Amino acid sequence: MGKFYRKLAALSVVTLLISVVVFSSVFFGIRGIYADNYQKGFVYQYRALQKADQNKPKIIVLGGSYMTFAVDSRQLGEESGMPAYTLGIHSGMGMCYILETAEKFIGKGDIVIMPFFPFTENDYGMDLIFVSMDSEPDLFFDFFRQHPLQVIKSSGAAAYTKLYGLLYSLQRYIRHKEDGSASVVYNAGAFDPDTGNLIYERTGCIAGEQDLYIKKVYEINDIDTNCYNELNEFAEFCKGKGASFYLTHAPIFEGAVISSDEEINLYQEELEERLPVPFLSDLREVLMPLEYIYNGAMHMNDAGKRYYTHKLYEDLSKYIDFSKE
Amino acid sequence: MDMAKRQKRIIAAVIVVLLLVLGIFKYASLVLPIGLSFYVFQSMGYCIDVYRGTAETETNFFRHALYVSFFPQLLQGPIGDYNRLSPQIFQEHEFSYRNAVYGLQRAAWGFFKKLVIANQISLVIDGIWADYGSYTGFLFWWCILVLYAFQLYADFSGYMDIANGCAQMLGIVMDENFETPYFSKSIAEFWRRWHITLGTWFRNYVFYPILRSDICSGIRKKYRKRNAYLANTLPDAFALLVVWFLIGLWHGAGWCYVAYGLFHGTFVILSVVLSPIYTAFHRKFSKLVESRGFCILQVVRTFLIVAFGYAIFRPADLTVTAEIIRRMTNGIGLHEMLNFGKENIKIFFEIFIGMAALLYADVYHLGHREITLRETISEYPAWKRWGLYIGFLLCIIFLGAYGKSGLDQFAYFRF
Repeated sequence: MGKFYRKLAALSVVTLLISVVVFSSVFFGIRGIYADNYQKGFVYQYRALQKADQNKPKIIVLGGSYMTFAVDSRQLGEESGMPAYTLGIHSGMGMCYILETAEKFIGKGDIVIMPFFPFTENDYGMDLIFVSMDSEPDLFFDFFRQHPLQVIKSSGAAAYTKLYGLLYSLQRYIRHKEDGSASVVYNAGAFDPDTGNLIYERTGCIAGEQDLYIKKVYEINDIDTNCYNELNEFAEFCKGKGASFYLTHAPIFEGAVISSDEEINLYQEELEERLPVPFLSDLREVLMPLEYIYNGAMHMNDAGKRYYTHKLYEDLSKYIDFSKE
Repeated sequence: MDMAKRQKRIIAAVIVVLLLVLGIFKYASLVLPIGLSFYVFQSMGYCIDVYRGTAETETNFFRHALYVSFFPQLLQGPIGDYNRLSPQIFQEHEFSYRNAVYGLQRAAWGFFKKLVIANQISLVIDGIWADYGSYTGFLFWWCILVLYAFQLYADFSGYMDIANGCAQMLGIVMDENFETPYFSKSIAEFWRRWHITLGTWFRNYVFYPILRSDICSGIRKKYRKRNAYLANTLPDAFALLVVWFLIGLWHGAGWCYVAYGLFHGTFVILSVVLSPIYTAFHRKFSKLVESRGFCILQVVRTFLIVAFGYAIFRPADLTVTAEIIRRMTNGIGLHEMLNFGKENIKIFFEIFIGMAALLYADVYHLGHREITLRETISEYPAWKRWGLYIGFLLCIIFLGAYGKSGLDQFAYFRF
């Protein structure tokens, strides 16, 4: 039995060592292949928040791509007279991760807003998180300290993805080709490096019918109970820090929603009951006409962004007197 | 009351109680204990064997409980035979280096199948099943069905490898549940090589008893003199119909599962009913039938029938199945299939590596009945062997899909 255990231990140690070496060389050795990636937008937003004066009250808007496409932090800052920031560029990164990252920057007097979008408890999109942390060791080690098991569990897949990404980059380099039509907006160049705002010019609607008429139903039972727990905990955290937390609804193309008025009313009532956080607006107010839509039912174009950002300011004004801020 | 009658009543009561337990949990929409169907069937088989006098009566409750709940087989089988399993469980075991190594290797192979093949395919196609209404095309849906066929095989047989590997480490050899099933030349053969212990259970405890029943004896008697073909075929067809209906029902309470059972049953019954034609054909074209090309054709045909059956099995809802079939017949779907491949090319590369290893192992198994792949590998020089083991483990670590929600379940847990 001793021989078996010795050999098993040797095999495990050698495999583990090789895995660590392979992962480290791939993850830290191959750098920059995601430099032009859409996830870079998250890093820009993160760095902007890092540079913010933490003693001065600020507005932070959190969310996925529906938020990035709809909120301009510069416009919100100008209208409200408070420094404003956004955090989150893709729902696939996981709202838990975005909330957790935001917690580092929340201070006294801050206003935190989140357009509500359901998520689950273990909402960490590790593939995208790894991509965003690619050239940012501080982000990686921060996350590793908090979630060592999660990093270990997904490191194999991350290394493979990166190796694959390297092959893909080489292929692109050899062919001297652009990434494809869709990637023009899903690209680091589409963001303002100082603010992390999506500044790529988006005029008109380029979405196909399949991406527009998505038959969205607002059904309270579709929401994971852990989502309420996470948000209520986050609200408590904000309260503890002396910040105010507000929810609103994510914008969506009006033709994409098939729920009736009664169903929306019921959804909102139940949502407000389970989340004792003020909702800035009625869901029907953010059902957007086609002229505000860009490449998907929840992605606004520049006109939609200006409208939604202004509406956010107006909704917020009902709760906060910005003239005093 | 004489002894035989009393025994008959007791065994009937035991079967009713066990079926009630299964029925209450499984068919009354209660929370289903994982693997319930497996250990209820194992208990039932044991009781019937005791009634028939082919198994000893176990008077020690804990020994019986150990037999029923032996941990590797508890969740998804194999449905163990008392006479084969119990002597191994109850006897003392010395540590065997060979068993420990082979068991561990087998469990690792099971993890490879589950993590590198089944989970990766699940990542690609689960979304398609959930949003089936958005996809059309003949080629596209066949591609999904074929992928699902491999997913289910890798998932279920992967679990069996883990279970059998764990048992082997303890010196216990459990029944095999898979025998390269996708190389079967007919549906009947497929079911002799897929979920073998379930098929064996139904053969021993349902099929043969029905054949020996008064109904079948009556049919045989009625037609014996008038029509020998009907005298032989009708009882078989009747027994098979009942068996396949029950196999469907074993999977779940829905009509979809009954339809799935009857779908396979229809092909098996047809092979019995049309056997004179097959025999005549085989006699007349013996050279063609024995040719490699014809064998491949039969294997492909059987695989396609099995894969099509998953359109009934996977959605677990006949209206969804009907809609998928409708969408399948609506256009060729070449563009959709190519787009699907292009979007998931990274994952397909991982699946390809996993499938290549699985195919190699299965083909090796088919061609080398006298020596297993593990025995062949054990004869390699140490550097090659260790390189292979480490490479294999690295494949699991770097190419496997794990750590994400939904990937920690095995497909047959729900049964």
